[in-house]
Amino acid sequence: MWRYVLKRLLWMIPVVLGVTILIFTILYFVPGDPAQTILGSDATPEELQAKREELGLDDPYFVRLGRYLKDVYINFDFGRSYISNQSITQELMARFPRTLALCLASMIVAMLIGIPLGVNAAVHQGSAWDTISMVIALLGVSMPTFWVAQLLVMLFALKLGWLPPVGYQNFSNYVLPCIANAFNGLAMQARQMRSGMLEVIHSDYITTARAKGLSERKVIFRHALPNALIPVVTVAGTTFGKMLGSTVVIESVFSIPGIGGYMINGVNARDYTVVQACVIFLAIFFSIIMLLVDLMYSAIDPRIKAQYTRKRGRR
Amino acid sequence: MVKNVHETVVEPTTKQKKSSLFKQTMKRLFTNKGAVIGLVVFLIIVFLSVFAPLIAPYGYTDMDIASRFAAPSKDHLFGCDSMGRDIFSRILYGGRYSLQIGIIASGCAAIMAVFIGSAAGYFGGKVDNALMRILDVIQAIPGMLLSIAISAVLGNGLYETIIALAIGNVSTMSRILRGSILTVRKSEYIDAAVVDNSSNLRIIRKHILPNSISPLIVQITMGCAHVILVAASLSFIGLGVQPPEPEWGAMLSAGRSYIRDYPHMTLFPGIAIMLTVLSLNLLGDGLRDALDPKQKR
Repeated sequence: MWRYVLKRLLWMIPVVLGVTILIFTILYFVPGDPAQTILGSDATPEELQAKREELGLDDPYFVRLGRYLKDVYINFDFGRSYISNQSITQELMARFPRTLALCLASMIVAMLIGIPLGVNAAVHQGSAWDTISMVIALLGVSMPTFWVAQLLVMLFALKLGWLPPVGYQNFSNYVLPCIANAFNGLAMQARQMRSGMLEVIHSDYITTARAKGLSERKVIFRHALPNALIPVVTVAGTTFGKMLGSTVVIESVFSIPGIGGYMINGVNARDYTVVQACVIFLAIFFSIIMLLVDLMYSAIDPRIKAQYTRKRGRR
Repeated sequence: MVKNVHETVVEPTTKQKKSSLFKQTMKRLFTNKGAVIGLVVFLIIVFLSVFAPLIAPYGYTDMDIASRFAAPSKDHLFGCDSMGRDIFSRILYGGRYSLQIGIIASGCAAIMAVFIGSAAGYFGGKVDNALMRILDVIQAIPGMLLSIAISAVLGNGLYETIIALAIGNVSTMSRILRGSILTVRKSEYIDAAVVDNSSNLRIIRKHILPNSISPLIVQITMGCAHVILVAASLSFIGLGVQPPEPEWGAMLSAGRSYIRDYPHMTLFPGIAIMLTVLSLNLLGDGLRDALDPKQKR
């Protein structure tokens, strides 16, 4: 088991480096001249050249890549914004708690509602409950997250006036963004939970448990649910990734100054060092979450443990 | 020459078997109420978008200052936007963007996935390991963020967006195909084909892919739905297809400033996205059940 944990931890290093190299390479091909972006359109050719040399923009690709990797992973410095000349690392650190709070809260809401919804649908398969739950889940995976957010704003903020439409200072500011962001994940969880549960409910050991004369409650909660939860844990990782992506848009709808908002500002201002730093930062964060999910998965699924003592590769 | 003879001999039997399997699948698909509704709604949306110039009462750039922000009425079914353009007509035209992006991007992703997935699944070993580690890296970046980065480089526009979204979907599809090839790979008929001295390409094309492609087909449908959602998000944040093109996400973005007073600008484009994605999801669910009868109880 510890071998697995260690191997999984070590595997993080090439993944994170790979992500950095990939994103750096993609954004290396961004059209336009950063020196021009910084100095504006009335800069002389000499000034532009001087700026380019200062930033090392004329260096070959591998030199720039090497410098970037060193800056990020040894000095923990994502560089400076081309536009505002502020430290990107500081900005990321200041904004990260808001993004983190939004993502984690949405994930918790999604699991707290999605899992019971799926279990209930599976247990009462074919009933009105099942139909209603699955219609909700289907809507959840089909509505664009930012549109859900807009609808919530229209109803609860503008029409009823219960909650603020924008802002980030108070708890109440996070209620609507969380619901909007959780809706899609909740639907994914419910669908996965239902199909996982249906598969388990029809297996022989559940029939055995019923034959033993256990109460239906016990059969569901002691025997069926733990086994059906295993695939849900894997989906939780993917769901989190999707949420991280949609947070970018949600933050923009609710004017929450998180990392997503920072990234969109970067895109609009053609400030690609910022975009690069945001994507890499969020990807590292996502990798850590996936690591935790994998470890949790191996802890709750005895098959993984057994597989690993028989010394077989990952997955 | 030899290959041709071989093919003509094998062809009739495989064809026959394939069509009957296809028929069975279709039969199962059409007994699924959700799938039929999904298919019908999707076809209606395709029809409306393709014949938009004939159906739309106004052009998508026709401005009428007198009816700025007009509420939904008989003349303007879904009302008008801030420039007096008919929202109903713009939604019809906008469907062309969303559908093209969804279908072409998920199709391209699937084609790339066929190469990557079959190389990884069929050859296994080092090839598999190398490809899967690369996909691990790509999948460590949330899809939406990868698409944002790529479309920031490529710039705004229809084809740029399609490329960005196709690349964003390759890894999931490759993984799914690889998984299903791994199970097929162990079958005896593959061993038989190897003994038969068939070339690797032929084994993949004739034996592996036909037997392992169904999860990918489901994923293409679901992927198309997903791509449409991401494309709308991209347009919404100022990437992807941009105004004055009537892309649905871009229309929602334009409605943002008027959300307080003119909610119809936000309501209708969103409903259009939802219906399209919903129909594809229903169809995808139905296809999954139809292609995998074991799942059905």
